[in-house]
Amino acid sequence: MISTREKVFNYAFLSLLAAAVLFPVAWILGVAVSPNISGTLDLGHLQWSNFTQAWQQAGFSHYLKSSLIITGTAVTLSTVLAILSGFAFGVLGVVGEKVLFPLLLLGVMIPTEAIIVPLYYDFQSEGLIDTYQAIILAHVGMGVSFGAFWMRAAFRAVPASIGESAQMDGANSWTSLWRIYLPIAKPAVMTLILLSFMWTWNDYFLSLILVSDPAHQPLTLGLGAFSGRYMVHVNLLAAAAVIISVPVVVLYLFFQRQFIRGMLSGAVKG
Amino acid sequence: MSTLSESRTGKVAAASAGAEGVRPPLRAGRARVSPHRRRRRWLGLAYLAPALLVYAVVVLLPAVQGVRLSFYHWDGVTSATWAGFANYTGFVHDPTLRQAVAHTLFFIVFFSVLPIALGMSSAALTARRDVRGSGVYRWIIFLPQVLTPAVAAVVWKRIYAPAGPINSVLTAFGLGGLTRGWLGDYTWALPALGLAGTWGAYGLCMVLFGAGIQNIPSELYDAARMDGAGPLREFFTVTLPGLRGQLAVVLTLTMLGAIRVFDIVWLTTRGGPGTSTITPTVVLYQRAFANPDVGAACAIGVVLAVVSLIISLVVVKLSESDD
Amino acid sequence: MVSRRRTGRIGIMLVPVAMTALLAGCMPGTDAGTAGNSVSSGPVSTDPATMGNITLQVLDSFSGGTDNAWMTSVVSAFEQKYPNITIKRTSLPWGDVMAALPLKLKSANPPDIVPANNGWQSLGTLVRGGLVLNLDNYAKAYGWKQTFPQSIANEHEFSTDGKQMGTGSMFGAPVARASVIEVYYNRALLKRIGAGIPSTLADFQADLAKAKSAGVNPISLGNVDQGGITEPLFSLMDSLGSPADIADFVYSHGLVNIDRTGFPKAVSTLKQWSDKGYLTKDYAGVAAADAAQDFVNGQGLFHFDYSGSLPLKAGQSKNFGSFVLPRADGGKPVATASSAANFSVSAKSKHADAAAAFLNFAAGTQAAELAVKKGTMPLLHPDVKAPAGDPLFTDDVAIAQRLSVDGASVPYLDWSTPTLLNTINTTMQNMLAGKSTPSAVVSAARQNDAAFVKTLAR
Repeated sequence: MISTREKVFNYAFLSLLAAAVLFPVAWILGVAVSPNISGTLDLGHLQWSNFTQAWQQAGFSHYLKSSLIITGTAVTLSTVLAILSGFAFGVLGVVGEKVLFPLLLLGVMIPTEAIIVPLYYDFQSEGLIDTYQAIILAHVGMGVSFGAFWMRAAFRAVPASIGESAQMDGANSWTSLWRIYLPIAKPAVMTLILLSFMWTWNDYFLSLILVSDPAHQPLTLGLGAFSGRYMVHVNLLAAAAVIISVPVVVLYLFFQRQFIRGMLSGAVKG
Repeated sequence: MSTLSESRTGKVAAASAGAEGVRPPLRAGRARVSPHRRRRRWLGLAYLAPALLVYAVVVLLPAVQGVRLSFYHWDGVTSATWAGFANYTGFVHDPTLRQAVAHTLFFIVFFSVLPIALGMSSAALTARRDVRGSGVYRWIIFLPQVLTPAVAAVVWKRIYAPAGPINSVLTAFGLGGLTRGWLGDYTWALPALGLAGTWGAYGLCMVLFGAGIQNIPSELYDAARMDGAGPLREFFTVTLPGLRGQLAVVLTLTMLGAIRVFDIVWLTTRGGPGTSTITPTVVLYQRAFANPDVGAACAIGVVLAVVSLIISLVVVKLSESDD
Repeated sequence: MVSRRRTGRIGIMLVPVAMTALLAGCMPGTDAGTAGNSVSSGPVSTDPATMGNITLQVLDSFSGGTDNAWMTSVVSAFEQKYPNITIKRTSLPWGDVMAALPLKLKSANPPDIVPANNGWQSLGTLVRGGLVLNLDNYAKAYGWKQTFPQSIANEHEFSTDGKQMGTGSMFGAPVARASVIEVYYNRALLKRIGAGIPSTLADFQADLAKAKSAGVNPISLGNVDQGGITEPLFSLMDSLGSPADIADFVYSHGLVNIDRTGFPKAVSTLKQWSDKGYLTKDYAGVAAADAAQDFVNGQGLFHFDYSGSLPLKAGQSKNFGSFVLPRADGGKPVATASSAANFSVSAKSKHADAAAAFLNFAAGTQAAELAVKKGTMPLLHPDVKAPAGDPLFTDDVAIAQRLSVDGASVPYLDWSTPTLLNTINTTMQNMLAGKSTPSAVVSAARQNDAAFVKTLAR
């Protein structure tokens, strides 16, 4: 049915678009391994030591520690809260659901910007600014809405008969959640974990405002500080940028489907 | 990427908007509730409680405080004084803020309209045809969505620098006269940042529309062909109507992204040159922290929230009204 | 129909929101106590050894490089001298300190010593809020007003009602380290174009022209992130205006019109430099930090910047020198300068005596000696000498000496209102790009000042 000409056109067209999208990424990768500090591409003399140098000069070791602590804790807590609240809405039903669920959904439409200023002052008055607790709490709180929405849909997709048979067997809600429902909803949980990992890891705005102490700042802020500070070695800056992006990109490499499905959830039908 | 950076929020808005529409109505008439069910629902509340508590502390309480503060003048130190609607009228009187709003409209073109047009046309051209290796293409094209926004901003700042690759390419093609410091140029800084936004949002649009086209029954296309429809008519009679749901989602997502642009501006131009790339979120940040006028910052936040809500509702309504 | 269901829901949502609004009460911190800025009548102690075991919480912005090295050495010298006092430092980047300071001071347990920036952006607001201690008793006890050059001491003074700056009581103290806007030059390039160190503004501009015609970038400057402009602008103002007028403008609000400060002429001169191609090509698209790096890499004859802020690698400093932009009238050069930090004491501090003792120590001779030892510009003590072998630092120390002896320094122009810096940065970009005129910059600055004066009177 499809002519060769059409095929060639398709490939050419897609390749052109892919090249356009890839250009900035490829360029930064190239600069990251070039020896020239002013950022000129020089792929004839690859300098892999840029990565270790950037790592040391930007002090990434302790930023990485913060990023891991923040992301690890926030993702774990978010996931647990999402499972519990999704189970509540999706399976058990909740007193006042008609009010509570929309109220929770409202959170997804309130942009971070609308609440960040009062949140900052609240945390400040509680002495929480510059602590891991504050930034983790903020991430978890802002993830509640999506998590509840997402897991509610996932648990609803579990056939009612399965839940009922569990109930007949005398399983209480707690056991049936963890033994019956969760294993079935595992793919959804997986996607949720990937997405919250990405959102937390990639965050800049929340951390910029809530964490001013470099000792507790994540990598994204470390990059900001590195790019605006003192010596400007573009190749090292590029190397640092690459380092930060690697974890999410690698995950995306292996879990492309989950990422895309999750981020397009609306269209793919909950 | 940058445009949709904190899109956790925007995302669900659209997700809920889109998904609500498709899901069959759930357990509708629950006239009488058995004691057992009622107990279960109290249990449900217990399961929900921790999430609700965190949500109340981190989102609800600050949201309410934000509304309240927006009616005060407060420098963060001395006593707050009542301001009435003064912080809101800034959207009319304050030239910086007015400019920021104008830039938002401009950004909507680059962050929303352009990626949608590009994404839809490229999806329409390719999605129905069997392209080997399409997974690889999709991976690449969607990549900007998962890249750390702060990284993307740093990359674009370098790309547009006077000694950056764009100028090198221009010089190589003998167009040295066109080179400039793109982000320091009054005419070009805003579109330059806008293009970075198009770059970020394009993949989302294309992949989403691609998935949507796959779901359009091929009989519809066959029928259109039978009627002798050319590719253009085919697009308007079959593809476009079939993508209405996806369009609603993408429109919501990208527009919410466009009105909240922050990272890429803050990390490149800080709103300059002059105020030629300033956005409402940059003004919000400046007023909240650099020269404290906390009430004004909160007013901007409230307006952003209200506009976000309106956009979500309007788009959902439009996409479903003529069902 | 689905949409109708959703809108219905939104209606329901509003009920709890409204209820929370009623219950939420007010925002913490929006009520401030009345400022009590008068001096306490009780006696003050100036002998730390007799104060018992004390831990002082110090917040500072000396978070890296020589800043940190100096502060660390001063703290350990102080602790060695007074073993009964322990100092706990928290060091944050400057911008973060400024954003967080008011709330840190309002918290139940504020740091004893804080680095409030001089001027209305920070210290002035804190004084109005009654958050920092009036230090006059200590100033008297330690003789600060006699030992500090008056131009420096003024920078830390406010009236007790918080409506006047540069006069009245001391609400902070300088440290023995300077922060000065200066001109860096590339020794080899200066030689190559056959020019010497300029002694008047006309000489300087002649050097710029020579560089330009020799194909050397005269001034390395970058402005894309709104940085890099105030440095040459304030230098020009100091060269063209009278120091007394500049200080009066910054301090006395409205009594001196900005037109008298040399500011208008500085703005138009900078525009001329830009038009003549004296600034880095496409500087509007270059980041300020990149411009500094370019200068160090040899791509520029001059570079305006703060003291100690060149990104130098070991061994590079011999290639560069520094001076204060000479005056147009050939008089003694005047620099925009201040102490590297203003240290204030929290109004709530339980250890004010010990805190003041540390302030006095950080402004003392030993602290100045530590400054030169760590390679950072000293202040207040003109007799300390630069160690041999670093010509750039020798220039810097010489500048600092003249500041302390001649008192030829003026405060930063942007201290005069909380938002003037932002106004200058954006309007200068407009003007340099030809979108507006120099007089538009001046009138924007004038309006900004007038508007602030109005709020002060409130």
